[in-house]
Amino acid sequence: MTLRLGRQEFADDATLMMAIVNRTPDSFYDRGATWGHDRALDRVEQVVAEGAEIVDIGGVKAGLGPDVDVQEEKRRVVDFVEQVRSRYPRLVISVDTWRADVGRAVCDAGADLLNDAWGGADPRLAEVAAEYDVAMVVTHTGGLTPRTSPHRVRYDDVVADAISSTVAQAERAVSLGVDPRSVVIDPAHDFGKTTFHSLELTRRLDEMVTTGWPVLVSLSNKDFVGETLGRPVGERLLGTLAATAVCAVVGARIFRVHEVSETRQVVDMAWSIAGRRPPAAAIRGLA
Amino acid sequence: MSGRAVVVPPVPALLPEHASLTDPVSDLRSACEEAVALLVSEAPERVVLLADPADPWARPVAKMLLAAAGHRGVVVSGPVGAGDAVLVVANGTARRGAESPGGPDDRALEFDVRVEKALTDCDGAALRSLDPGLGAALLASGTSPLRELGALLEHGSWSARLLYSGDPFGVQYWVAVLAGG
Repeated sequence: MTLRLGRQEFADDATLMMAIVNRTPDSFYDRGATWGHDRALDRVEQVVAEGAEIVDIGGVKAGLGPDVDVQEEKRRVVDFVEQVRSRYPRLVISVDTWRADVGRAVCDAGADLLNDAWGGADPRLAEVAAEYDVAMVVTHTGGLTPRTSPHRVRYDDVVADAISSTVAQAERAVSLGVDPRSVVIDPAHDFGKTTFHSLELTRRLDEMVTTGWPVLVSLSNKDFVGETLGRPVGERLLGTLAATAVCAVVGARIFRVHEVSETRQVVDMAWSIAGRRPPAAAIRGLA
Repeated sequence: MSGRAVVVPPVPALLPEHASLTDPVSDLRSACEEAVALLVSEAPERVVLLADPADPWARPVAKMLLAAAGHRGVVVSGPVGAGDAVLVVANGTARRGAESPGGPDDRALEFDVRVEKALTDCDGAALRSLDPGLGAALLASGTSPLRELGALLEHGSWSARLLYSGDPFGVQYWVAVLAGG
């Protein structure tokens, strides 16, 4: 089935790079590098040049930190979305928010996609997606409250839990009027999960792909990579790319990333290995 | 009745199972398609295919090109009769230089020059005199089919048009259209 993300449609075999653009002073990876308005616009320009099909704009750090209320979140993202929309008419603009009020404001400003990274914490967000006919990413957090960390979390089967949660949210979104071609599921590595859970989700990602809903993975520089390799933030690219390759081989479609061009190469290579993408130009032994 | 013969190379990169995002043989492909379209433009009931049985790619490439050109008749291996549409699958050497798959061989360029001149001159005697053993040593494909083409060219008056000549990957390719008989 075609994937429709707001203004744009993508073929079944297309993989998409969703570049993270933080409008935050405190996100874990860039530590506020794109907090400034102009710096954030520069980041968009850079990732578009690197071939990102989607930008994911976020105004609230995912982890613990100072409170960011609705007004402040809107102040950080709404005007910015409007400017990105006017500069890049064809770019898919995603906004990472769990709040319906913020969702409504960014849809008015030109967003195509609401990335509900906190697993339906505000159930009205899907209603906003339906009302504005935009796409939605639904995620598995194990019921975690937004901006809290997992503590002694336990699942009988984390993959089954992620599937039942995301598929239920996807079906609910469709029942509310979201286009069935516009719902993406995300197991949400690290969110409400230990490193062992995120590794198992990666190892068994094919089970999520088999649901038929397009799968997004957000692996970039996360703690499960860091804990697995014993690497701090800033030294997790290779581990991220290894996890990316595993997810791509089994058919993940959207990759939420800090490093666009590196991820694009890895995903292209993995899809070609999986037989879903022709080589760029193969002549070896065929001349 | 006039005949028509076309020469194309058995390049595996032409086959759909080897398709790339950017076609590495796009110019060659265009020339092959144009030549084979000419070959079957009068909807012949049969096309005589002259291909080296030792080359596993010769028949698949020929059949793919014929199908793409809309040929609905039969494909036979010979013998060649007057007025037949003849598809010769052959290429020059693969030992022209350091970049060639077989590495360099001093005899390769001379062999290729000789074949190309014979094709463009429609010189049947020159084609018939090609040495299949030397062709095999130089990794040329279809030397014997070129000799059969030579026998055909010795009857009647022929003219040739070379649509492609090149060695983009160290292997000499030709696409030629010959008409006459």
